[in-house]
Formats: sequence, C-alpha cells, structure tokens
Amino acid sequence: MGYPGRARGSLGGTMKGMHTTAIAMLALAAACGGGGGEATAPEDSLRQAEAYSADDVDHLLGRATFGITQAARDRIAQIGLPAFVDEMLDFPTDGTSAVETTARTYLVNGTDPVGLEGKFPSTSDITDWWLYLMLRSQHPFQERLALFWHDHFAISSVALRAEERYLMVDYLEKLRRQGIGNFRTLVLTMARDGAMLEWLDGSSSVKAEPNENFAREFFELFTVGADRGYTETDIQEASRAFTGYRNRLDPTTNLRVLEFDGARKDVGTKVLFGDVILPSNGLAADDYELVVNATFAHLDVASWLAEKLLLEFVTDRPSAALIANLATVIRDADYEMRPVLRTLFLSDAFHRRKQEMIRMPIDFGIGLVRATGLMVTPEVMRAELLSLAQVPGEPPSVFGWPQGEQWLSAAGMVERANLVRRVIAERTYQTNNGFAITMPAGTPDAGAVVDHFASLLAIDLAEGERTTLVTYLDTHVPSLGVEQPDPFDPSNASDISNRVRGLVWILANHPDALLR
Amino acid sequence: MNPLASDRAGCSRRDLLRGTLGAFGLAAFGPLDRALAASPLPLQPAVATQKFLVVVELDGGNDTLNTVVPQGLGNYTLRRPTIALGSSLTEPLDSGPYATSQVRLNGRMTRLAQMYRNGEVAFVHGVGYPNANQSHDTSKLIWSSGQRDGLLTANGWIARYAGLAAPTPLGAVSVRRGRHRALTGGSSNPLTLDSLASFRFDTDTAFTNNHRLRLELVREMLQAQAGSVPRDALLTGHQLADQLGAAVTGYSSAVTYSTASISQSLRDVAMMLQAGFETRIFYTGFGGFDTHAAQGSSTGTHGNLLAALDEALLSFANDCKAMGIWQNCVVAVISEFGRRNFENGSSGTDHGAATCMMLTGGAVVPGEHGVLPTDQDLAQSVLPYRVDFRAVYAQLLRDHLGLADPATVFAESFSSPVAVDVV
Repeated sequence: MGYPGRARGSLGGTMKGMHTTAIAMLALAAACGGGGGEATAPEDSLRQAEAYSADDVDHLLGRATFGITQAARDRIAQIGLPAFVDEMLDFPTDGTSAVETTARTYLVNGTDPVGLEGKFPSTSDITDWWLYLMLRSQHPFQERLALFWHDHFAISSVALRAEERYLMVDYLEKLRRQGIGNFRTLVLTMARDGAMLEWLDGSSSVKAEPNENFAREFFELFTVGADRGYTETDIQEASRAFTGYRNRLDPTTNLRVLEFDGARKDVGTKVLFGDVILPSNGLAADDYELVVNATFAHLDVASWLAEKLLLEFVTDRPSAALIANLATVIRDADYEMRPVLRTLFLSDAFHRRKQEMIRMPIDFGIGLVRATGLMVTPEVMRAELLSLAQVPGEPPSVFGWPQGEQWLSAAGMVERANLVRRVIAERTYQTNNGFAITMPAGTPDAGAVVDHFASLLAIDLAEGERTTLVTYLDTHVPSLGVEQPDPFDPSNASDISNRVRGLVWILANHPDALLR
Repeated sequence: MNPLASDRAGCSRRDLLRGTLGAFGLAAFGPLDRALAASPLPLQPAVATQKFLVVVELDGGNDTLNTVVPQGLGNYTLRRPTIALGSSLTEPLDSGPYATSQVRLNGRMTRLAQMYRNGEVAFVHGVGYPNANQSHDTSKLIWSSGQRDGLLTANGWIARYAGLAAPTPLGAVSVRRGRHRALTGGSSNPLTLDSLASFRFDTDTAFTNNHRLRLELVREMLQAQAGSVPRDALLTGHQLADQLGAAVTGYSSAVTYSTASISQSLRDVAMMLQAGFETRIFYTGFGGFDTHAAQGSSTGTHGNLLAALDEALLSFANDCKAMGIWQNCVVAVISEFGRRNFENGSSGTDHGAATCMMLTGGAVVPGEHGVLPTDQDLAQSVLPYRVDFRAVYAQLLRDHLGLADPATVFAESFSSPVAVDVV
C-alpha cells in the first residue's frame, strides 16, 4: 500500500501523457524460489509479476539506482523490465571503464611517491572518488549495492590513519566488485579485509588477549543479528579463531600493511554453538573460513540477510512471512546475490510498496543530479552531504547510518533544500562541461515541462499544485517590480536557466521527493 | 495503512487540495514583498525562562596547567622550564568569599579572574575518566558519548538527553561544531548549526526574486497539503528557519562581542536565548589547543586562545545578565584531555590525561572543586583523574536541568573517586 493520496497506479489528469502508456511486459519464466505458495499474501509474495507498469519501472529505478532517468526508462521500454533487471545485475567488475579511470584521479595527490600514486588519499579524496562514480556511472546499481554493503559492513575512513587509509579504497572496491557475488564469500572477504582488521581491532587481537570486538560484530551485525542463536561463549571462541593478523609499517612505502602472522594465532581447538568443534588450521593459515562456514551452517544467516535487504530496498517494516520467504530464496540460491536480487526486484512484494520509504540524503542528492542532468562536482556533493550527515565513506559508527524517519529532522529539511539550490545554481560548471538540464523533446509548453520534471522526480502533483507550477513557468519575475504573465519559451536560454531550474527546486521541496 | 501517513481517516491529499489550491493562479501571486506564508507556530516572544547549560569545548586538549595554574609546586617550574607561568599570571584570587591562594590564572584571563572574585566561577580539578586515552579522537568520543566502553556503537550524551527530555528541533543545539558526536545518534535529531545567520534557505543569487517566489510557492503548497510525516517535517523546517532568522534580526544587545569565533558562537547562543527558544543544552567551542610546539606562556599561541575565551565568557555573562537570565546559566568549559606535566623539546606539551573543568554562570557553586594537583602528581607524566567527568555532567543534568535520573543518560556505571557539588 502506498502513501495515501499517492495512488500512482491510477494516474490523475495532471499526469496524462506522461504515464498512461503502461508498459505491458510479459513475465519471463517465473523462477521464484519460495514465497509463491498459495498461503502467501500478495504483499509478502516473491512471485514475479506477469506485467510491469510504468510506475513499476519508476519504482525500480528509484529504489535500486538512486533515481529515475529517461535513458533507463527508454531502455526498459525497449527490452522489458525483467531483462533490464538482468542487465542491471550484470555490471562489469574489472574496474576499467572510463568513468572508473577518471574517478581514480581523485585518489591521486601531487605528493605521492612514484609508483605509489593514489596510495595516500585523504578521507575527502576517498569520498570524492566514490561520489564521482555515483554521479556518473553507467551502472548506478553497482554503486547503490556497494552503498548497501558499506552500511552493512560499516567502516569509517575517519578512523584510519594516513598510512593505512588506502585500505578504505580497497575495502570499497571489494564491495563494488564482489557485492554481486556470493554473500558467504563476501563475509569472509570482509573478515580478512585490511580496513576491517584495523577498524574492529582484528590486527591487534592476539592469542594471549583475543579482542572480542570483531567477533561480536561478526555475529551481531554481519551475519545473524543480535542474540540470534549465539552466546557470549561463542563470541569468545570466535575471537580466538579470529587471531593471526598484524599490521606492519612498511619502511620503503610508508604504508601500513595487514599480514598473516602465525605466531599471533591461537591454534587451539575452538567450540562454537555448544558442540561444533573447529580444529585449527595450525600456524600456516588463518581459521577465519572455519568460523564463517560454521556460522552459515549452524545459524540462520539467510533470515538476517533477508531482513537487511528488505529494510534497504523494500520496506521499513518487513513482515515475518516476507522475511521467511526471502530467506528461502537466499538458501536456495546458496547465498548467490544475483538470483536473490533478481527475484526481489521482480517480486510482488517489491512492486506493491511504492513511495513508502524515506529517501536518504545520498539517494536524494545523487538521484536529483542523475534525473535532471544538472551535474555537480563530487566536492560540491560532498559538502552538501556533510551538512546532511551522510558522507559516503564516513558512516557514524559500526551500525552504519540511521534509517527511515530519522532522516526527517527539521534542519535536514532546510539542508536538503540548500542541496537542491546548490545543484540548480552550478550553472557555470554545467555549461562549461557540456551538461544541460534534461528537457522534454520538441518544443514543450509549460504544462509539458512541469509534467516531465514531476515525473522524473517521482512527484505526484495534485491538480492545484500543477496549475500553480504551470503558472510559475508562464510568469516573468523581474528583478524589480511585480511578476507578469509571460508564456514559457523553451528556446529562451534564460527561461531554462531561471524558470526551469526554479521549477526543479520547487519540485524537490515537495513531500513526495522525500519518499521512494 | 502506510505508517508515514498521518491522515489515517483515509481521505486522499488530492481531495483535500481541491478547493484550497484549485483556484490558485496568477492572481494569487501577490506583490513580491508580501510576507511569507504565515507560520502556524507563533514565534516565541520572550526571553528563555528555563535553566540552560552551555558546553564550550576547547578542541585539541587544553593545557589546563597553564590555564588554572597551581601555586607553590616546585615541580611545575622544574618540569616546564620555558613555558611555566611565573610573573605572567593574573593578580591573585585571594579576595572575596571564594578566595584561594592555591591557583592563579594565565595572565590573559583577567576577566575570568574578576568573575572568580565575584563568585561567578568554579574550577573542578582533576576531571577525567578511568584508563585515560591519549588519542584526540578516542578521548573526544569518550567525552561525547559518556562511555568508556562500546565506543564504536555509542551515541552522544546530549543526543540521549534530548531524546529523553528535550525532543524538539531546538531542544539541544550545537553551534560551529559540525555534526558533533555528543549530539548525534539515538532517536533525537538535535540541531547542528554552522552559525545562526547561515541557517536559512540559501538564495539562488543569479535570480534572487525568482527564488523568493519559489520559496513562497513551496510554503503555500505545503500549507495546503494534508498532514503527513514528510510534509510536517518540511513545514517544521520552514518554521525553524523563520524562527532562527527572526532570532537574528530581532536580537538587540548593548554587549559587544569580539570577532573571534568563540565570541560569535556565544553571541549566537545569546540570540537564541533572547528569542526564547526552549533549548536546554547548547554545545559550542573552538580549536587550536593542540599545542605541541612553541605554545608560549601568557603571550603566544596558548595565551591568545585563552584571551579569546576570556573575552567571550565575559561578553556572554554580561549579555545573560542584561537579559536577566544569568541565574539560569551554567557554562561548562571542557577539553578532551589536559596535557603532559612536562614540556617537550619544542617548547610545547604533548597529550595528557586529567583536566581542569571551568564553570561559570549564576547557577554554579563558585570556588574550587575536585582535587588540586600535588607536587607528587606533577612528578608523574600526566595528571591522575579524581573526578569522573560524567559525575559533573550527571549533576548538571539532575540539579540544574531537572532530569530526575541522570543514569538514563549515563547508563554505563562509573564511580567518581571524588564527589562534586557544582550547582
């Protein structure tokens, strides 16, 4: 059920012409793991729909790719929503795209020694590198998924020292490239990650004094959720197994490296979950995989991952039935993310929950830029996201960012408006770099322009609101004196630079712009 | 029903809008200078009447041994050969009802010295926490969270207080401290301002009048919409910007503040107090106290910082007195740690442990509290803590701000070696 007054499926007169061409798409073979059973209520069902509407298209783009773009809509119209989801989930992971190559220049500083370019980024450099990707990537879902994992395996670059901060880039690259792979593998990768070993004290955890920090979060945040089948004894036993690493300052590179050191490792046998005996690998290798495998084998990891995915992409309040259905899909897929996400994004459960989650600041800012074409530099976006307390790379704690209505502080509302102001006011940058606001084709009148941007920003205008905005576009506002009627002229550069950008500001201050 | 919607009767917003905005057209755009849409919440007309706390953070670790200087300890001059304050101290504090000969202030703090003699200042010696951490970041996090353990998941003590006792947008406010961790986390969203004057809907400078029209239209559309969580949040944001803007334009005071950032920050606090906001805790401060090299004595880096603080504290006190709210006021000057007892080879000081907290305000119990450093203490590397900072905060919450049970804010158990009674 959507937000009352927002029946996006039954389009009001105001939006006619924008959405009325429902894109009927035949479902491909519905391979929908669990959840398709007779007893499941439609809002808990993971069954694939038989057809997807234009609203479904916008919903997918808003939830999974920061926001709507006309190009993505056009692509879906061409190949259908299920095939688009397949494309979306099949992003290249070799890191060689032009956008990625340019983004990496943000990590490089003039003072970097030869051969170590990009190895001494500041926290801001790391954020700018990633924001550049979010703003411009041809595969926005790759960045959006990495952002989900960053919140799940939350590390802040602020806590890392200058000589180990490059590890934050490595960590984010793993999330970007391996986040679509197998979750069990990703958990193991994260457990051994250099930034993680520093952040949660794994590198200072030694046989004589195992540090429980990582082991506690391993269970509580990364795999099963607080108190779901493990005890304090398991934390202690796991922390013994999570030993064997140290950091070392390499005197030639002046970089801190994380490396295995058998001498620091507890090679004794550990017992997890009461009766699962873990014989050690000995001094030659770590025992991390043993703990990961035992946890996946004996605890309910699938339900925790299901809940986290639902909280990110579907609803703030997932039902027990929906969690159970998705957990079944996850187990059937043996934790491979691609089929799980495909099922999720094509499901009834996903498409029945439109515009009922709060759009967090990163989604809001990146989505605004991508939808309107009003490009900004990563530095500008970083400054605005700092005001909004959601800087990528710098979550406030190991718990990640707050969710839902916590993003709706009164001050945050003013800061969001100021983010939009900044985006519409970067005229010089946008002009000099060939970016332009994405106008509708042809010679649109004021009504067509209002409908176009309301639709791209997923705003369902009431009739009176639309009338107001059409009048706004058809009004000349002199710098002195009283405004006068003056029909909008799409060929007039000033009308674009002033009125259309102003329209974007007004629309982005609509309550619907806070929802996804 | 979607939990975000508050119009649970089920009537659609669009239905409600018909009739309110239906006839809205050009005729509705009055002259540009007309007042913005009326705010349903009236601006507060009177000066704040509730008791309040202002925390002033000296960022970087203030060298309190060169701020509130213990007298008659041989190790002080022995261990600080180039930076010890000898002749460059304030006149003695040995007059008035709280006369002390045990400490004197850095010579740049003459105003605070006079306030002390007037019975408006308290010093709490030996403030810290168990197992002092000498990392800026970690120690700040301990002070900000009020926790010694579990720092990675900790939220701020002011955020917790605000969530319990002041859950309005202005219940707790920070000025010029960014998104300070003392105010983040938990269910509340305390307001974090860069400065009062900068908290507003930024103008599109290329088209100022058009921007004003846009703002009006946004407000009129919000006013016309039925209540919902996002709509109400936006409207509250607009009201807040109006209220803070009115606080700036409506402020009048005979008190002069210097242009130093801490003076301007405390002036922002005074503006909010004069506007009558319900703010219980203000958080502000300034940096530069990480004086590892050439910190100077009463002149030089450290002395200049203290002079800025001294001037700001007096201006703020005078402003509060002019408003008649000095008796409601406690200003707590804190820092994440003190510095080493001995100077380093660069005529500076490295990170230390316990610190001297300074309190001013009509509500404080003046004089000296806690335990003064001894000569034996100064023979050590860092000062030991005798008062847990949480004991001071907890007393301020209970006896000053009226929070029944401070343990609801400071849940981690602690025992202060020495009890304090500062308000």
